[in-house]
Amino acid sequence: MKICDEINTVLFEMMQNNREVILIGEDILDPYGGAFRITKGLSSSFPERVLTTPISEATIAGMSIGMALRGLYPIAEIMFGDFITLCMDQLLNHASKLKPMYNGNVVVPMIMRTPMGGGRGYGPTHSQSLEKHFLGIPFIDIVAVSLFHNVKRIFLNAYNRRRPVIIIENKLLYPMELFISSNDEVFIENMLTETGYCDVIIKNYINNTPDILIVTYGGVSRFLKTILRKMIEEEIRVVSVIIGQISPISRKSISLINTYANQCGKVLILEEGSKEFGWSAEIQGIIENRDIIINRLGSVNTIIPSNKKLEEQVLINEEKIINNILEMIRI
Amino acid sequence: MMKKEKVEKIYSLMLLIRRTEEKLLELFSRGLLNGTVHTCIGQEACAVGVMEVIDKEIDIIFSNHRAHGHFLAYSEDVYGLLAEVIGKKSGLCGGIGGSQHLHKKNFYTNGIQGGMVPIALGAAKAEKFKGSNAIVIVFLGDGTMGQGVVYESLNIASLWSLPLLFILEDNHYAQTTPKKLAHAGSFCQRAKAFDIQTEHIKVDDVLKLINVADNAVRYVRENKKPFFLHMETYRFSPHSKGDDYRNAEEIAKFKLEDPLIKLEKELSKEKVKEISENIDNMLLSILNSINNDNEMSLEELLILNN
Ligand SMILES: Cc1ncc(C[n+]2csc(CCOP(=O)(O)OP(=O)(O)O)c2C)c(N)n1
Ligand SMILES: [Mg+2]
Repeated sequence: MKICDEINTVLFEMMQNNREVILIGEDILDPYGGAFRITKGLSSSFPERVLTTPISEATIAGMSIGMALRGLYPIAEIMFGDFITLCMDQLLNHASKLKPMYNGNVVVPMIMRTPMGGGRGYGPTHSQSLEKHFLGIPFIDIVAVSLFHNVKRIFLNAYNRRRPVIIIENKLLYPMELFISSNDEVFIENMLTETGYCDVIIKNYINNTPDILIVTYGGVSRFLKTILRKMIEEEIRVVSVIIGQISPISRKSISLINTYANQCGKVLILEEGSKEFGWSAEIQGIIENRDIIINRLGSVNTIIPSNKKLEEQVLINEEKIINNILEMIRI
Repeated sequence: MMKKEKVEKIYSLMLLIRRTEEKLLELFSRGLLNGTVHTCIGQEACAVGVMEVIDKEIDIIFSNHRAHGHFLAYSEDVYGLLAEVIGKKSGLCGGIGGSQHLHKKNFYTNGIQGGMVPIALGAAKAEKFKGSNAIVIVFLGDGTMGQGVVYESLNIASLWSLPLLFILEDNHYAQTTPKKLAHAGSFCQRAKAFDIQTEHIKVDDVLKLINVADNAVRYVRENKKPFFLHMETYRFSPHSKGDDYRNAEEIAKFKLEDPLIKLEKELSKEKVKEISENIDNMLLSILNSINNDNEMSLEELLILNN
């Protein structure tokens, strides 16, 4: 099933199984079903529980918090991730704080899901990966869909967490098929973290020590299948850890990264947005062994141009990642 | 309730709020409070008038930085409030929230101007969805009418017919900024533009206010529609502490219209003395007891991360 259909299906199941689940967002009603068609069919099945709003992102966030406080389970869609900045105050000063500042006496169980990422020529305000601005906020889980993660499990675990969860969906993943079982080139393992999400480990070798560890999350996973295959031809053994919960980073993820980092001695950390002050810096910081060679790669720290050629040059891509791997192996 | 009993009750509550906040200002001056307090001295009638007519079992209140009065009128939990502001574990929120971040039962406050308005809207949607008879009340100040989310919320409240009562507590100032430097047009006209019914009242007589608030609450409950109640009031105390730049004559003029003094005239001198002494004694004994209460440890705070 395509990733967009996976998300659509799990939303349907959550609504069917839990009467308190409410969808809220802009243009999410049928026949349109949202800018990326993720909520297609849902307003026909549950007309009372799919709420289309005016263009009021801050209030979408605020209403979700209010509904969550009062016993409902809102799942908010922010049409493009670029617009999530309008929700910042509600997320940071309300959603994350209400439970701890009221000494644990309330909960704010909700999901905010949003598509991030470029590659479609939408230009500077419809292509960004802005999750880095939300990383590190305590009491909010930030989780990313990837090519290798069981999407349904992400959503169901988010639901069970009884707290605000932001789910980042790279829009280039939507039309792709999930890749969750090993084939004869790529071997896949799932690692459950203490918060119930999963990290996925993929390798292009069996029973041997790896040469390099790639740590990443979300949309960057779309390159890994090809890269791992190409590295077989170069006789480079690659293990990649694709983190599910990207903030806060779980203890299990930290120890998993350190274990493989120690085996490889070389770590390449990749992120879709620009790496400056980014997630990859935090991952670098959790690697304990100071002798390990670490490199970070993201998109160029500039605006994302609409022009096709320029956009390709700005965004992280397969070629840049492979060049980086080869350079690191040569050291 | 007989008129006399009612007057006694209302007066007691208003005086309780005033004495409690005077106590807080005193503690602050003596360096015994960490942080700040925004008192509502002079505005007590707004809090008491509204809480008098809501259904405290089911209705839901969202308020702001200036919430001690709203809170006491809602719950009369003097101990919980004082312990919270003083920073004790026995406080409403374990001393984590302090003056601006209060919660008990269906009462919630936060210190971000306007931030609670869309949350109140969501709560109103939840009540409507559940088919309950509850209404939601959100308090906001004149200065907060500058925030964009307020208008997003007015729009949706009207569009979706949500049981939300907006209470604008207009004390003419936002911190040091007088209304004339911040707002064009009229507040009620803004709400009317969204097809929301409005009412304006100058708060000089709490009994009159109770009637107006009662009508507003009934309207919201019966029609499942929002209502915008503009209360013009005045605070006698500074915005928080040591930040009063208003004209002294202006303050003195408004003090002559103190709704608390006006109500006091309806009671006998003996009764007033009795009520006042009871409150003072209660505050003293509560403060004594709070003195011995523990504070929360960092370990306990971090448990909340789980
Ligand atoms: C978003 C935000 N901006 C600024 C402040 C700082 N601040 C606290 S109270 C206040 C004035 C609020 O005025 P008003 O809404 O009229 O309420 P009042 O204090 O008069 O009760 C300001 C500017 C804040 N708490 N939140
Ligand atoms: Mg004001």
